[in-house]
Amino acid sequence: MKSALALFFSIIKDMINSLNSIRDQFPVLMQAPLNEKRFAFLDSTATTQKPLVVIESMDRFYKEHYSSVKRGVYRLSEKTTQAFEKARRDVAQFIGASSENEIVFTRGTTESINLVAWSYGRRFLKENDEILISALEHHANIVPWQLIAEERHAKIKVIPMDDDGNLLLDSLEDLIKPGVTKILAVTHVSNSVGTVNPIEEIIRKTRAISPSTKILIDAAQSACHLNIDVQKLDCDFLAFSGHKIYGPTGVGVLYGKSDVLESMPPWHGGGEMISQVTFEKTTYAAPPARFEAGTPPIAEVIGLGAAIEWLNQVSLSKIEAHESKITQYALNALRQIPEVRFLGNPKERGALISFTLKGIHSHDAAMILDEENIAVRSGHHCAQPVMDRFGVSATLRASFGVYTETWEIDRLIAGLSRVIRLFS
Amino acid sequence: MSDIISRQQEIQTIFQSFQDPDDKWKYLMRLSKEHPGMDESLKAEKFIVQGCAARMFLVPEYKEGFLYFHMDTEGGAESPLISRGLGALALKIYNGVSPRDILSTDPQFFQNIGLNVGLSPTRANGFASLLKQIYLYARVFSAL
Repeated sequence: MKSALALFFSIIKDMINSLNSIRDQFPVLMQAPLNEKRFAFLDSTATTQKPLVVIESMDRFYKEHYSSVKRGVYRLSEKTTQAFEKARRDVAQFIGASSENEIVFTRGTTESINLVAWSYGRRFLKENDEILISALEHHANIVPWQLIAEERHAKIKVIPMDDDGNLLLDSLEDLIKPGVTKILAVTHVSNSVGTVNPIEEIIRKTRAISPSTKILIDAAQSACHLNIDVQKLDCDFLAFSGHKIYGPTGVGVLYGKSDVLESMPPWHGGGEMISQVTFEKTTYAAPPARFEAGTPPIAEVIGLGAAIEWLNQVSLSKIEAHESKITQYALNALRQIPEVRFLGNPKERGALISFTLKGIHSHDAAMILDEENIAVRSGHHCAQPVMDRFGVSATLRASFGVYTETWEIDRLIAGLSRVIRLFS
Repeated sequence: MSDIISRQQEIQTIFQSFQDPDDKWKYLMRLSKEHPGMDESLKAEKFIVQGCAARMFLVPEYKEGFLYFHMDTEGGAESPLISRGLGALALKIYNGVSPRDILSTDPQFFQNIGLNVGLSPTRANGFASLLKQIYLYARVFSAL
């Protein structure tokens, strides 16, 4: 029995290590060991490391053709504008949008959601309208809705979840009210529990009950793990961040259906978002320019384009398969530690595991793991309602990316054993 | 030599005597367990140290030119022992000295003795927030 188990683990290790050469492309992961301990990075849910091609694309832009976009007729500006708009086309293709005009560049997922709340919400929400979110949301998909709901005197409703961290979809029939539920905003993958929500089913049910409800998918935790096709999904909006998909910080994406974006007023005023300005009246540009006031994060958009090209080369299917094996490997290993308490047990799990250690505060454990040169996250993960639902104040979270290797999980397990020994 | 410097030297000697990396954690856990805590009635919202992963209270008391602190954490059986121990360690240095003495002391000391505690405030770093609050109170009371 023991040898069969050993064989099973050895096969899993071989399959996982077939992606090994990918790790070499990430300079941060190649740093020198600390006290002979290699750096184990298990915080990809917070942010992913950057492959060299992304870093070099931004470096090249600054060194070879730095200039602003859309404003100059000179060659450098033309070249930069081409690179910038190519990135927009790459993003559109990456998520299956019907046109690059459906892609708005923002600073990140948080700004994308705020844009929808303050532009769409401010124009279309009326008193007693409802915004439906889920019990699994990150603060970024709660607070913007609370702010606009307060201003428009609308209400927030919440899809509940069970003790395993799965949303209770039967509740949708009661929660969605035609003509009242104006917006449904739900995360694809929970950043705190790891649940992969069945968004196809959620969207289908919502459309069947209330076709006019606008649906926003928070894809911050799914865009670099799962294949997304916004047309097949039939969502109205989808938001994600560059820095969580191996791209730079400071850039994000809001996808919006053409007709929905067209119906929305500008959010920020400034250069580039106008059609004609006089002191009496200003008319606005068509989307996406309408929502991109001012000089955009040009280097970051170019870096995001490079990240998407890189993701396409590696292939999301391969990444998903790798992460699924790593996650399973980590789950199996953590289950051997009696002190580990998992936060939820979702039917389908993304590349992250949240857990606590019996009798040990997560923050204490994370400090000792840091001494082992292991980076995990401790805290409430910007999801305090989720922590409240499970009756904890904080958890440890180990999360994985395309570069994660089994030795990092082994190191985590050894580190946790040290923590437990110390506190026993 | 100011009280603070002699206290720092004493603590430095203790840390230098540690043979095993776990010794410092055990020491902090012991400090945490020995720390007297705080009267529940003092645990007001205004005394919460902002930015701590776990809720931590720091209450200043200014008496005859000296600044005293009461510190405690919240969390019951799973309270953060090391975070609380770090708080107790900070109080070993800063408790009962003049605000001016606090202000003239470099908080870098904690890293110099081998504690890998960040001194810049982050969401997860309660210790930096605690130190910031101690120095803030020292600034306020030094103006009196």
